[in-house]
Amino acid sequence: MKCITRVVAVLASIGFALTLAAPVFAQLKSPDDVKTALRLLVQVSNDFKRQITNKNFARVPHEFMEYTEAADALRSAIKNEPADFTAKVETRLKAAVAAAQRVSDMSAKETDADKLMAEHTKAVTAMNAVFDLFPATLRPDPNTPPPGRGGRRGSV
Amino acid sequence: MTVPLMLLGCGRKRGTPEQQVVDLFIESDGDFLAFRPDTLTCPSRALVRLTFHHGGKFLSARHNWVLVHPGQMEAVDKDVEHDEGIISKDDLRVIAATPMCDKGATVMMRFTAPAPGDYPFFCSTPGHAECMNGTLQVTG
Repeated sequence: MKCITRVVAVLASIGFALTLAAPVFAQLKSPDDVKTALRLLVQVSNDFKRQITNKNFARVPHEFMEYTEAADALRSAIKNEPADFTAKVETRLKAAVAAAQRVSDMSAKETDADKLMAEHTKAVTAMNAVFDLFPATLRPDPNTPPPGRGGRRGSV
Repeated sequence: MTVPLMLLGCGRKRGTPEQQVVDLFIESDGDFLAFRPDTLTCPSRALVRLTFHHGGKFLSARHNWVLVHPGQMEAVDKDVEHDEGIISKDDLRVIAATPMCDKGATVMMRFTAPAPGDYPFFCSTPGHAECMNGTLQVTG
């Protein structure tokens, strides 16, 4: 009897521990808003890349402004989440925004697209660290073509 | 007797029929770089009254709707890249273009539908056309 009680207690403890350890994202209050914000971050990050590739450096600071707006959209989407989670996101989000700002600042002087792309790659890494805090189902796939008819450009 | 016949003649629709009026609505897919819908249809020679809505809420990116002749999208987009995407009214490659819109704004414009065919439309804000484009199908 004692043995059964112990087994039940152990199983209950494991269950309780697993509940505590469950990632906070399983209970996100506004998953759709989070998904939208994360997609916007990727979209703007891709815009950065496009402007650099096209050597349209004057547009890069504008993309940075949009990046901060997308970051604000994410802050808004998680504002009702537990404080420890929002703090974790904020730390990584700040790092991602700072990395994007370095690309923007560099674009004012640097005309070497390769150097700017190298800096942009660092910004993408920082952005992916933000995404890691969210469930895979909400994370945008950077390899997925953006919405719209991008693949058909120039076909008509 | 002659006068009433002349008046009757004035009321008849000879030659070109009255221009058909078509109302079209298109918007940006929220803040995303896409049009919704991305295909529009109208008959040739119709007077098109197009309403474009910028459906964004978060980003300050501006959008417009630019209709060009087939095969001209990339060239027009490239030419306005360093002018904030502003389309010149004198550009003969452009059939119709709305002004640039801020998020939440709606604009209306009119144009006469061209000859039957598929015509590309896009947003001329630099970098947007690659994703934000579609087709106006003009029927015969």
